[in-house]
Amino acid sequence: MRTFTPANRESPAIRTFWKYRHIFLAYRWSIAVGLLVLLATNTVSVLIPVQVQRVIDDIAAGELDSLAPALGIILALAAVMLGCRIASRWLLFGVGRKVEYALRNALYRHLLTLPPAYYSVHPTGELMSRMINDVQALRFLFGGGITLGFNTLFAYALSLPVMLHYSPRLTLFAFLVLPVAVYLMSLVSGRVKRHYFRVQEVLGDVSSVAQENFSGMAVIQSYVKEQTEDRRFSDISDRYYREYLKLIKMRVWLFLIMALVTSLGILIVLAEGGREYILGLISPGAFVAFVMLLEKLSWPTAAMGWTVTMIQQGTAAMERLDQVLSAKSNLTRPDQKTHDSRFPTGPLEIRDLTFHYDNPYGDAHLIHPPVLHHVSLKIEPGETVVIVGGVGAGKSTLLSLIPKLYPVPDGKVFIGGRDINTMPLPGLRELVTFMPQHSFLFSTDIRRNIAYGQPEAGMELITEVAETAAVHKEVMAFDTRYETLVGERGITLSGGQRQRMTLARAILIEPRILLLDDPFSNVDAHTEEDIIRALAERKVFENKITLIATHRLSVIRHADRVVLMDEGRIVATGSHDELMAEQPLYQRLHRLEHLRAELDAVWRDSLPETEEPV
Amino acid sequence: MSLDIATFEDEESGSVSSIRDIGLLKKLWPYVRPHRKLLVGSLLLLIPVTLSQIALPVIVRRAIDGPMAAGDFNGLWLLCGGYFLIMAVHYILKYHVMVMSQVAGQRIVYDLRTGFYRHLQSLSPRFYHRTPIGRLVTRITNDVENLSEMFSSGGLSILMDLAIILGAVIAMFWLHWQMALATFGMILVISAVMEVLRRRSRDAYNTIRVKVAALNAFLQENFSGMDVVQLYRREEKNYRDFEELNQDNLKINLNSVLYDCSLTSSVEFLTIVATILILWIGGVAIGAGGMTFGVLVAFFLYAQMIFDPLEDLAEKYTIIQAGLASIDKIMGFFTLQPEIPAGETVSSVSTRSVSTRLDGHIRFEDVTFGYLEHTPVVRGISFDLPPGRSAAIIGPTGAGKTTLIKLLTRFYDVNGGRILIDGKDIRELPVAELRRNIVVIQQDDFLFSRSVAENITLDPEKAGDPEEEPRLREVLSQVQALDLVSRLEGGIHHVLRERGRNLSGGERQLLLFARAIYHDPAILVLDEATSAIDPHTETRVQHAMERLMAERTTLLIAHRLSTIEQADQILVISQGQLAESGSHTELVRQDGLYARFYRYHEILEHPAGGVKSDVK
Repeated sequence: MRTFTPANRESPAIRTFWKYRHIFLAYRWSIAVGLLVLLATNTVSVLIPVQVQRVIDDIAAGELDSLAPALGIILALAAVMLGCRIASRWLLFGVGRKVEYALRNALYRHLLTLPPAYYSVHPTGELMSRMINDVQALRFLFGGGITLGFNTLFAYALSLPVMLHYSPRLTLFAFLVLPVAVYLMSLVSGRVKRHYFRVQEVLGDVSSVAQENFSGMAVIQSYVKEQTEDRRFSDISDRYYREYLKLIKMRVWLFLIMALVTSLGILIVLAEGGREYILGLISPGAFVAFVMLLEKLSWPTAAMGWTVTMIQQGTAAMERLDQVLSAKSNLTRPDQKTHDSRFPTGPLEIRDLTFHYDNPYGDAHLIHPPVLHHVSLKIEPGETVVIVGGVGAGKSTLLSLIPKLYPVPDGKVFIGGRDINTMPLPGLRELVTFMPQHSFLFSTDIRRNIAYGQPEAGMELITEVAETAAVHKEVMAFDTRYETLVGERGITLSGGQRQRMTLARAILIEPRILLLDDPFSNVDAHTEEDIIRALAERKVFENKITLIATHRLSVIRHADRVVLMDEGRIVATGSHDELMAEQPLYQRLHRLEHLRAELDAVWRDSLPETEEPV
Repeated sequence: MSLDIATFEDEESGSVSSIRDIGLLKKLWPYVRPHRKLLVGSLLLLIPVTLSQIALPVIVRRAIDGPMAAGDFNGLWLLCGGYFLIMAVHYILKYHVMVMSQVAGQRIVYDLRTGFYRHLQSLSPRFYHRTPIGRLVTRITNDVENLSEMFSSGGLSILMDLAIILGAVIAMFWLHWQMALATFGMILVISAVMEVLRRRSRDAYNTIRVKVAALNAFLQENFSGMDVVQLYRREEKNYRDFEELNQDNLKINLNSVLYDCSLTSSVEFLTIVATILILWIGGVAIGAGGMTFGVLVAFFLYAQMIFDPLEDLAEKYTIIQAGLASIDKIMGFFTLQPEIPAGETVSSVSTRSVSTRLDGHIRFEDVTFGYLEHTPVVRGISFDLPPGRSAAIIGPTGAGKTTLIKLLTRFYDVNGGRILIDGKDIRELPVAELRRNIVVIQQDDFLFSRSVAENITLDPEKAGDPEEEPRLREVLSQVQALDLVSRLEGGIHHVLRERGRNLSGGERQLLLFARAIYHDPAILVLDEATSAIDPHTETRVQHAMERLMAERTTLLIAHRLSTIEQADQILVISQGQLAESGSHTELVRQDGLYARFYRYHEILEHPAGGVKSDVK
């Protein structure tokens, strides 16, 4: 435990790769064949200068008869190399692409199993970065990394004996330059890399000053701080200019060192090779072949540094991916027995449920106070219950626990007498349809959005539910009707339209339990009445357990029972009349809703035709 | 001012094939002009750089044909020394050319970036409403970076490559024209092969870009709507959809890998074919005594000089095209003009702080305005607010309340009627002076992720000035936020998180009030300033607001009832017109819109059971 050897430091990385070996080892044959072909490529690549040497020596000796066949051999070798080079690269770079493909699939499949609590801690941007940047780093490692690394190895291993054969002394001189060049290059490229991060950092600062100032432009302009901010932006741009220029100078150095190696190589061959030629130690052919061999090594030499970078970045990326892939859902526990997939019938029952939003993926020290206190509620099939209460009363939380968006303690929520924790999650969610408050639509067409829960639903059913949700007429007014795309590439829908479409999506499914969270918040009173009437006509609430969080009077009128919640507790349950008679809180909420509707009507009539641009 | 920002849409997909190159370069000229000396200088230096590089193979040839053939060691050393000298000169000059041209390029980029920022800063709120901030940030970072890349990797280095190729070709023709012709033929063949393969590969890349965008959009959406995906049990189906997209992406990428491999490998192959040709022609010529070995070797070296840059040439051309496309996008923004007439822009006013403190007498006379010319948002609004008095403006969302404020602060000018401050038409006041006298506080006004002191002073110099600290503390204590700020790490120098997310709504509000008090305006506008406040800061906010309103002309928009009741005037806006106006008691007696509004909010704001309601 005292020594911290490099081997120890590397082992966790290797262990991480080993953990996901099934992904990488699937391509072991492609890698093996690719490497063999790569070896063949390099062999031919060394044979060509050797053949050139023979041709030149023949020319020098005046034997021109064999010129054509000898050149034919070079042409044949070149053709073989062409085939091998393409094959090896295609195989090995292809492995990189396939690894990328497999990793993406694995990541997405795993992310589909993670609960909302995970997504609340890991924002979309972060997950996108895993999916794009880190997966790409592994593609580079398994594609370019392997190819370049082995190419360098093979090129050196094969060229060196040939060069030594021609002239050990010349080889020695040439390789005196190479290590120095490699050392200089790694030195400068190390600095380039470090400085590159610094430049990126400053660019990040430029970007965040721009982001902040564009967002806060109203403040800047109102307080007349344009000149101050102009200076700030110029200062940061100037800093970026300086840092970037430093980087550019380093890159120029790197470029020049690489070019210098070639020129120096030629100089060495000229001086030492010329001397040996005069002494009759090497032939003119060997002289030319040597230049060619040296030339061919410059690329593999430069590739050394890149390979190391790719290994480092790929390893770091794999560790980040491992963090995603080893996160477990907090909704299912291995000890829960969920093999019984029969659908229970009967009432929805909540027994003494206390709940708080503790997040196992977030800050473990953060203790959240309970948002539901000892909630008990029983709803029989066919019953429609409305939950009423102010902000933070716990209505949404209560609804979201029934389809188990968050973990529910054992023995608290039952359907048909069966604890929902004993049901498989997909089975439970087949029983329960929950329409959350935010109207999330996907950027596909309207038809697919409405049929999201039942993709095989026919057009007849889709138009029916759209009519019930009072959105059909508007859809028919679009040029492409139900094929109209929603979102960035399609049309922009109003909040009300989105909400009614999500309602249509929810009622298309005929679940055992229907949960609607504030389904009419963006719908005006008149349309709301229409929808309620249509829902009743369609018998949506019949034979179903329906739970709606809303204050809308027309919905309350339709409900069998009203549940009044306050600060996470159920304060009272009863009919509208009972609650009106007994509960001052309910009276207040009711009166408020009444006045809101009235004011809403007055204001709405008085709205001008054009709103200001938002 | 008729400008249609709505039609100003730029496409992210923009392909780089059809660029109006010349026109664009003309637009860039004002930024290039100041640095033309550097550019001309590096162009001139390019001549000796090219010549010295072309000279090197000539020395090799001389060495082979002269001293080496004759066995003259001294001659060999002499030529090697000459080679070394010319090489040294070449690299020293090349370093300077590269650095000089890069400096010029980066200075142009710097000027363009800051000029672009300055221009954007002069544009009105309407522009910021319609343009996503992300797009602006992309322009000023990514697109400017593309331009920078164009200068650093494209630009001059492409000229350098072309100069070398030209020089080498001339040298080859001078050495042996038949062989030069053969090599030149190979250059054409290689270029043609590259062009064919590259065109294929470019098509593949365009498809890839579309596929990758689709894949990313799919993921992005699925991550943000994961709860819907899971609630509707779409996991299996979405996985299948994703796999299909991913598979498509893989296939097209494998194709493109094939093109890329074929490209580099074919160039390598054709280079060898060129070698064979040189050996053949050269071999026969040497056999016939018409050529020397030195010429042959020099030919190899020249061929290398040509084939090496040939491979990168097309890539550099792509970089230049991307740079030009970015210039196009950036320049598009320069056609947008600020809506307040030039000459009155804020920069034309002295940088001194408050020049004149106005009294703050506001008078609207028959004010009419519409964002689109023929659809007025406000019509015939008139009212008079004496200095130090307060008026509450109420009305439904979109009735035009906020528009009145934008007219008062001259983010827009009235279409009809006029607005007077202290009896003077605001169009006759310099914008900067007007705005210095008015502070608008909005509900979630912007807090920068800078220090508390800087958020109040809005000036980095004053924020860091120790002499300014007593004043800052005084302001903070006036809004009762001093203890709160001293609890933060670093006190007034504590750097806030993005948009002040580490503070509560009430705490943010107090800082905004402190900002306003620090700037000491004659006129104060509170635009829905206090609607979302946590109970523990509520009394402080109330107190700070009173403090702030004292001795200032105040306009209140959509406030809590207690504040509205106390306003000297209440203006009810409906359909862009003044529907009712008067004091609280007068309007309640009228039993119109205000009376209804009042009854609703009375219940909303006087909780019976300690419950806040989420009803709007």
